[in-house]
Amino acid sequence: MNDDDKLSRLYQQSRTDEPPLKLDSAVLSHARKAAGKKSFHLSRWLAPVAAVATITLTASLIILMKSEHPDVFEAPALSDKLGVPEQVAPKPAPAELNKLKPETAEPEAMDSGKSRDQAAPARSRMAPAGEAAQQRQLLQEKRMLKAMPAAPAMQDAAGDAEKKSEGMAGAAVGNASGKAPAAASVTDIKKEKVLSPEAWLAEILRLHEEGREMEAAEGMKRFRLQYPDYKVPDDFPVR
Amino acid sequence: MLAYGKGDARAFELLYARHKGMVYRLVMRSIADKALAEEIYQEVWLSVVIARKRYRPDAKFMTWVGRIVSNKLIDHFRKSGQWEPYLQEAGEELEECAAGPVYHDPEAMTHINRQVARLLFCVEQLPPPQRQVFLMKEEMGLRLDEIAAMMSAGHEAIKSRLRYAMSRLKACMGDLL
Repeated sequence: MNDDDKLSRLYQQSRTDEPPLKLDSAVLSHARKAAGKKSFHLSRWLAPVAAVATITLTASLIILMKSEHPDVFEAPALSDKLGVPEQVAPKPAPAELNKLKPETAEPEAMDSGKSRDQAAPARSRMAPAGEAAQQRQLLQEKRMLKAMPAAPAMQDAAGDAEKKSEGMAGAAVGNASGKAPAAASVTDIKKEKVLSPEAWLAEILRLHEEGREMEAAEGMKRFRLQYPDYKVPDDFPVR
Repeated sequence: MLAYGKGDARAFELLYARHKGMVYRLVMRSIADKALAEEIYQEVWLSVVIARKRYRPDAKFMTWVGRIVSNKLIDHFRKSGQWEPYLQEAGEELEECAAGPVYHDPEAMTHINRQVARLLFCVEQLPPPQRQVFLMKEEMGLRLDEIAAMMSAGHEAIKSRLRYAMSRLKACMGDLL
C-alpha cells in the first residue's frame, strides 16, 4: 500500500462527523415549510390581469367623469378660444348682454379665431395695437362691475340660463362676434356649478398674479358666497 | 429530489439523512471558522430547497449537491482572498508543516486516532484549492474529470492540485504515516 492509499484509508476513518441536531432541525423545518407552501399557479397571469384591470378601471372612470362633468373636459379649449378668464369673471345675465354688446363684442371678437379678420379693421380704428390689450382689460373690468349685482342671481338661475341662453344669444347679438359671449356665459355658469373650491382659488390666484386685482377680488367675493364654510389658506393673497 | 419537488417533504428527509454527513464534512473541513461553516452548510441546503423544482435528474443528486457546495466554498474563498493566490503555485516549494494538534490526553488515543487527528489537521493546512480537490475526491469518491467539471477547471489543473495536496499531506504527516 503506497502513501496515497494510506492517506485515503486514514481519511475514510475520519468520516464520522455529522451535523449537530440544531442544524438538522433548522434545515428540515425550512424544507418542510417550503414543501407545505402551495405554489401560486396563477402567478404567470398576475401581471396581465392586473394590467387589464387597471386599464378597465381607468377607462370607466374617464367615461363616468365625462358623463357627469362634460364641461371639465371642454373647458380649456373653450376658454382659450374666448380669451376670457374662467369661473371668476362673472358673466352678465342674459338681460345684460344687450347693454354690454357694444363694449364687449369688439375685444372678444379680437380673440375669436373665426372673426379675427373682421376684428382687425375695428382694432386699428379704436386704438394702436399696443393699447388693445389694455383697452380690453378695462372693458372687462367695467363689465365685471356691471355684472356684480347679477352674479348671485345668475348662480341660482343657472339651470334656466342654460336653457334660455341659446335663444337669448341669437336675439341679443346678431353678428358672429356676439355669439361668443353668449356661449361663454353658458359654459361659465356650468363651470361655476361644478368647479371645486381648490380650482376656483387657483383661478383667483392666477388673476391676482396677472395683476387683475378687481377680477380676483370679485371672484373671491363670489367664492365666499358659494363656499361660505371653506377655509381659505391664511397666506392666500386675495381676501 | 423529484418527489420533494412535487411537495413530498418526507423525500427530502431521506435525501438529507443520506447526504448530510458528506456535505457537513466538506464544509466544516474547508472553513476554519465553525460559525461561518455552519452558516454555509445551511445555505447549501437552502439552495437545494429553493432549487427543488428546477432539479433535473441529469446527474446523481450527490454530484448536484456537491456542485452547490463547491460553488459556495469557492465564493467564500474568493471573497476572503484565499482562492486566487493559491492557483498558481505549481512550482512552489512545500512549506514545512506546522507542529500539529496538541493532544490533551495522548495516552488515551490510539495510534490510529492520532493518525486521523493529524491528517485532519494537515488537511486544514492545505491551500483552499488543493484542500477542496482532496476533500471532494475522498468524501464524494469522484474521479478527477468529475471534480474538474464540478469546479469548472481543467483536468490537468485538478490533477496538479491533488498531486500537491498529497505531497503536502505526506510531508505534514511525517512519521505518523
